[in-house]
Amino acid sequence: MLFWRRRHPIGDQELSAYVDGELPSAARARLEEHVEACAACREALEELRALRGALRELPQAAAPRSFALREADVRPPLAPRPVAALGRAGPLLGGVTAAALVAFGALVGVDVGVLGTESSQGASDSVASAPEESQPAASRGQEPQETPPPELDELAPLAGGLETNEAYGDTEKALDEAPDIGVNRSSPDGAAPPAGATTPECPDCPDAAFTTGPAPALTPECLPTTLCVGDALRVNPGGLSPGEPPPGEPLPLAPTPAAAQADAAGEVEVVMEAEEDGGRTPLRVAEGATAALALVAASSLALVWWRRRA
Amino acid sequence: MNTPLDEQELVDRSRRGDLEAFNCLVIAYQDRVYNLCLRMLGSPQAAEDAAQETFLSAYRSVGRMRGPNVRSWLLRIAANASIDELRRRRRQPQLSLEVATPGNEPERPLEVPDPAEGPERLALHGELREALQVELLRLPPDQRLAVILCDLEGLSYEEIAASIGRSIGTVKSRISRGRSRLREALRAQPELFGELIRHTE
Repeated sequence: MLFWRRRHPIGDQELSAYVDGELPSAARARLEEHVEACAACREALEELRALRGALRELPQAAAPRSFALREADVRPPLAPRPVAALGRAGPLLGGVTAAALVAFGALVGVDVGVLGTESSQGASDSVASAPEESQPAASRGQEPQETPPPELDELAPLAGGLETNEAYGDTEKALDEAPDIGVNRSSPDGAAPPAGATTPECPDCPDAAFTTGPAPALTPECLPTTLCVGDALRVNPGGLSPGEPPPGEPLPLAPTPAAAQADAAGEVEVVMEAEEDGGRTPLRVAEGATAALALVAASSLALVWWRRRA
Repeated sequence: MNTPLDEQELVDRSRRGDLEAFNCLVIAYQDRVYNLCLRMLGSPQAAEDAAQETFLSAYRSVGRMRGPNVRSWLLRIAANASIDELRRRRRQPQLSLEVATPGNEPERPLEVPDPAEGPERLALHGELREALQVELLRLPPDQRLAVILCDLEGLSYEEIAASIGRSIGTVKSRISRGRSRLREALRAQPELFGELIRHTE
């Protein structure tokens, strides 16, 4: 076929169009001139004509019945049902629906947006409140410093070798709590700084301890040092300024259980707030689900309307 | 047959919901519409359904009808209805037992009685006619439609292009390819092919 075509300036398509009388005169003249000299094209032309003639002689089938429409067939488009019966109001209603949809979407969007910013605000709140939170904590922590006497007083006896069990036990309690607090709230990177933070600051403790008491008694007392760790961690609980080891934060010389507990209370507050914050999530989910439901309902309504119209 | 003017008036009245006027158009064209559907689908039952669907949808869309040519408008709707039916069959092969696909066509896909067939028309034997009808149904639908509109309905290339919404070049190419296939298919049956050639001589 390709060979045939290459040798022939006339293709099947021209021959086919020619038998239909659909070739422009110039092309027709060229074809006729070629066919005069080309037996193959003459044959092809003959076959095409024969085929066309045979196809045209295929009997026309008569319709087996009348396809005339009855009133019943066409009642739907003529006397359309409710939606179409709205007639000119249809598009109007559609517009109203669309407008309502848009308004609803905007409302939901704004709502979600507000919630979103709220939540991010909540986050920044907690960021902000971290300092705030730690501020009181710090002040609380400072309190002992500001009012060193009681602390020192407390320590003094300890350091003085008067190993009051309560004190030690309390310290232990505080210790127990401190890591808890720290671990609870600080991520690994939050845990790192304290180590660094503690080292330089710890000398304070021994210092204090050293100044206050003899070495043997110190060993247990040095534990407060670890408490310092706990304290350092406690600033992190805000957890939100992890890379910010509280250098300025005055480490309580020996945070008392009371202080630790206060801190713990702060922690709890933070935690509670976090929980509260988390509590909004289901609300948002519900709202989102409602919005999605409403959207689906509205779009299916619109679809129904559109199909009725079509 | 109505003159174009009458047709236009019938169309206008149909647009105003005059069912009687529309049914005049139905009566005038139902044979052609049914025939096109039958040639496209190969099954009288499917053709009947497609023809009815054609007129229903024509009535619904008469308001949107453009151009003065009712025939190509109706044939286009019929072609679309037929092609929709073919697509439906392809999607649901279990319903396509009637379809004449290569190697899987009914024994006698079309037995179109020709009331006008007198002794003088017997030159083209029933056998050749049947073979043509079978081969026509084996063509790809787009080529089949083009050949039917051209050779069976006698539409010009321009009318066909308007009917199927394609360019004249596409129409020309589809008709040519369809005819080439038919020719090759008949060549494979020498006695029929000989008869075809003799028939025209």
